[in-house]
Amino acid sequence: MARTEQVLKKMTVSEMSLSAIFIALAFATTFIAIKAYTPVFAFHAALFSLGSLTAVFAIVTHYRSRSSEPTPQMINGRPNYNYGPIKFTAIAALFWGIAGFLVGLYLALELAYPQFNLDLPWINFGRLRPLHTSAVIFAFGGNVLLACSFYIMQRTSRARMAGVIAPWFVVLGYNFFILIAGTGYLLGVTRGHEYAEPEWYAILWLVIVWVTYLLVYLFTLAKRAEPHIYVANWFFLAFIVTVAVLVLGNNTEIPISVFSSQSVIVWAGVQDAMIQWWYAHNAVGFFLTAGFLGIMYYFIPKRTGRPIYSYRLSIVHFWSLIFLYIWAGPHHLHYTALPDWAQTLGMIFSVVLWMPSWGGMINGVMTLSGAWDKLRTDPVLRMLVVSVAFYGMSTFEGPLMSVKAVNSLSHYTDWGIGHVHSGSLGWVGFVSFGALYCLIPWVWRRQLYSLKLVNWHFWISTIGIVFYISAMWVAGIMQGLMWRAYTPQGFLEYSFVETTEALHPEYIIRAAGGGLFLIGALIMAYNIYRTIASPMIDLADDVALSASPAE
Amino acid sequence: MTTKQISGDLMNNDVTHLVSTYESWRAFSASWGLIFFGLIFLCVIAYVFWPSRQKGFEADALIPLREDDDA
Repeated sequence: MARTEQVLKKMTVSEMSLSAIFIALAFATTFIAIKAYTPVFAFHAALFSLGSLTAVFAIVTHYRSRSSEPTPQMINGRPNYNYGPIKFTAIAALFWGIAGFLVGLYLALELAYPQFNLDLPWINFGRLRPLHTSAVIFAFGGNVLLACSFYIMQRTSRARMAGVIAPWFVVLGYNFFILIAGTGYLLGVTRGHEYAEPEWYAILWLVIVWVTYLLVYLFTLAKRAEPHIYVANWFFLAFIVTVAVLVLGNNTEIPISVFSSQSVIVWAGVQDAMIQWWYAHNAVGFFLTAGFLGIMYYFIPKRTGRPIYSYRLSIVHFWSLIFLYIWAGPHHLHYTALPDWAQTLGMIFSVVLWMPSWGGMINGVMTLSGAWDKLRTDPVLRMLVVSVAFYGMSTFEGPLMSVKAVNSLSHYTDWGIGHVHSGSLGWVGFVSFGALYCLIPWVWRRQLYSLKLVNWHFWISTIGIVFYISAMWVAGIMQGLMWRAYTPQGFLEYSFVETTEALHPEYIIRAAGGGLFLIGALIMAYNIYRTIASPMIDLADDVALSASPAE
Repeated sequence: MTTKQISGDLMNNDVTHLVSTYESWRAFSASWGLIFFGLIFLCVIAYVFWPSRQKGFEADALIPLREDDDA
């Protein structure tokens, strides 16, 4: 034959086997949807079926459009980084973040003005609250972690992400889990465990996604060109492995039927309580701390253009955090049926935890040593550094609150809510915003649209956080003091409803703070939209991206 | 033997058994377990602060900044 023969395009083994698996899953879940005990479970099974068919469609479409050659690992001697899944999760993070902040604001308004319930079962406080917590922690935080970990993992390994379908399965599968969990809460599907509400089938799906995430990470590290594994990756690996262990440990449930959304827990009572708070506190420690510290250890040096203050301190920070965090959970169960020694152990480990936390904070902040002027000129870096300051503040407050004497006042009050939000809005929120402001222009090859808008975002959100946490301190301490006030005759001085009446002004201030935080996020969304809509910049101009903005 | 006696005996046996398992685990964790983890941690500290490793760590800290290509 005269013309050159093209290389025959073949479906890879993974394309074929995954298509087959998803077709089988579509059939199985359709069958379950037909036989389901409740309409809600039928709806979820149908979503699984629809999702599986979409996956088959996506695999076949991708097969048709791709070239017969595998994607090159290197182009012109440079690693051909895979940014697709990162772009998807960065946008998903913004979407879920705004949704989660909005639901949080609505909840704050419901607490201040209960009429906002509108007498609708789907939006009462009990169902909306897990939607808010899961949307901000797992949907917003999770997508930020996926985006940043995939970016940092590739860049510090100088290697293209492992897998073709696997990374997309991780990011789409994870967001599908969010969809199942979130719709479930509104329709009344819950395990009733805080931060661990999703039922057995959602968890089963999450475990498959999470193991794939770990494999993508490990296989990418395995083909790295850089001999040393940079410390940020250690934090991400600790986050991935520990979250897997936590989820498996706290979901030892047996479904009552494959056609039902309900399951029965293997252990109950104080054992269940201890496992639950071992899980929940380490979700804080490894999801909201270790993972985001990985982000800090990459983006603060990158943005300042200086190496981390002390690499040795970062290793000590890592190991001491790993060794200590896992024991701190019992401080959630002070003065309960949990054995006294376990409560004391939880308290002591929480207090000791203060040290590595502040070691990490010092390491992050001192990276700016000699470049402090950048705090004035670069609002993105300011956001990153203030996040570390909030990290320091809430990791001082946490150990303080874990001391039994303090806890007897603070526990079950709004002080806890204030503490959680200084950590989540201040630390997790700001470090995420800072990282996304860096990452999005870098992966899209765009100039960030407006630093001025970043500055507005920073100040509006900071004022919002201050409103929020100071209102909750006042509310919490007042609440705690009112609960323990006795009359000279030995009766309780205040009824419960009197304490809720007293909290009304603080609840309005809290809602105002949350509103400001949401406005900040909306400004960010506009800024990011304008950034992505702007024309792509040339490779030669890229140097300008990493340079500091005008003085 | 009445039913009450049998169940009473069973309960006593069960509880003694459980308490001893619990107590032995607790004692093991608070002694050997603690020493074990303490030693691992000391090894980590020794590894980190070994003087000859300083140069290596300084080079490792530059990994994010040594990216030669586009940002």
